[in-house]
Amino acid sequence: MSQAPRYMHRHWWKISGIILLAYTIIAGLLGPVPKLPLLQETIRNLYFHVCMWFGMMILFTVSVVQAILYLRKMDRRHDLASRHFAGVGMLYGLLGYATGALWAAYTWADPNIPFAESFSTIARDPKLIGAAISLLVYFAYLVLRDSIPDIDRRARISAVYNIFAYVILFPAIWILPRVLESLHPGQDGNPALDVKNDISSGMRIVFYPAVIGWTLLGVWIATLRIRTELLKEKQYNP
Amino acid sequence: MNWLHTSSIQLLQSAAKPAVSMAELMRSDGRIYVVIGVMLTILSGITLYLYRLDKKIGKLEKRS
Repeated sequence: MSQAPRYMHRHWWKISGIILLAYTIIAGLLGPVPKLPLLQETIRNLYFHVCMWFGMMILFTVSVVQAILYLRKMDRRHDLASRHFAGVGMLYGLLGYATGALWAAYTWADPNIPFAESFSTIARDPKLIGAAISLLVYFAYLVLRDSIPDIDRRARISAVYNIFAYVILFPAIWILPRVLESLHPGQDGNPALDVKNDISSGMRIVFYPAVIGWTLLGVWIATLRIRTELLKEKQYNP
Repeated sequence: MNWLHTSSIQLLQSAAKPAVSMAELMRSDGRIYVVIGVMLTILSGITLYLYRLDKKIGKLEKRS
C-alpha cells in the first residue's frame, strides 16, 4: 500500500500556521481598524469569518486538483486527499455560515423591528443563498460517495462529481452575488469584499497572514485524516 | 493585636485610594487582553491536541 506523501510529516508548515494564527489573534484584536458606524469593533471579524470562506475556497481548490490527479493517475492517495480536503473545506464553510449569522444578527438586523421580520430580508440575500447552494452541493458529494460500496467506482465517480461541485461554486458564490443586490459588502466586481478599497492597509497586514494561517490549520487537519485512512487501509489489506 | 491594627489600617488606606497601578495590563483597554488570553488558550489547546494526534499517527505509521 502507498505511504503518506512526505510533506505531511514535515513540521515547518504546521508551526508557521500556528504562529500566523497567534499573530492573527493578537494583532487582530489590538491592531488599528477604521472607525465605521454600525460595524464598530465587529470589523475585526474580517480576520475570522472572512478567512473561513477564503480557507474553504482554497481547500476546495486543492480537493478538485486532487480529484483531477486521481482521474489521471488512479492513485488512491489522491482520492483520499480529495475527499478529506473537501471535508475540512465544508467544515470551514459551516463555520463561516454560523459566524456570518452571528455577525449579521448584530449589524444587518434592525433592532427596532421583530427579528423574524429582518430575518426574512437577511435570509433572502443572494450571497447567503449562493453559499448555501454550494455547501449543499458538497454535502451531496459525501452522500454520493458513501452510497457506492465499490472502492474504485466510488473514487472515480466522486472525483468526477467533485469537479462538477467545484464548477457550481463559480455561479453560486462568485458570479450571481455580483449581479444581484445584497447587504453583504463587496458589490460591483467582488463577491465578498474588495480587499484593495474596503479595508485599510493596517487591516490587510493582518488579513493576508490570517488567511494563510487558517488555511494551514485546515490542511493540517485534512492530512491527519488522510494519514489515518491510509493506515486503516494498510490494516485491512496488508 | 498590634499587627492586626496596622494591617486593618493599611486595608482601609488601600480601599480609600484604589488607584494603585501594578501590572494593570489585563484590566486596561476594556480588558481586551483577557479576550486575547482566552483565544490564545483555545488556540494552544487545539494545537496541543493536533500535535499529539499527529505524533500518535506517526507512531502507528512507523509500526506498520
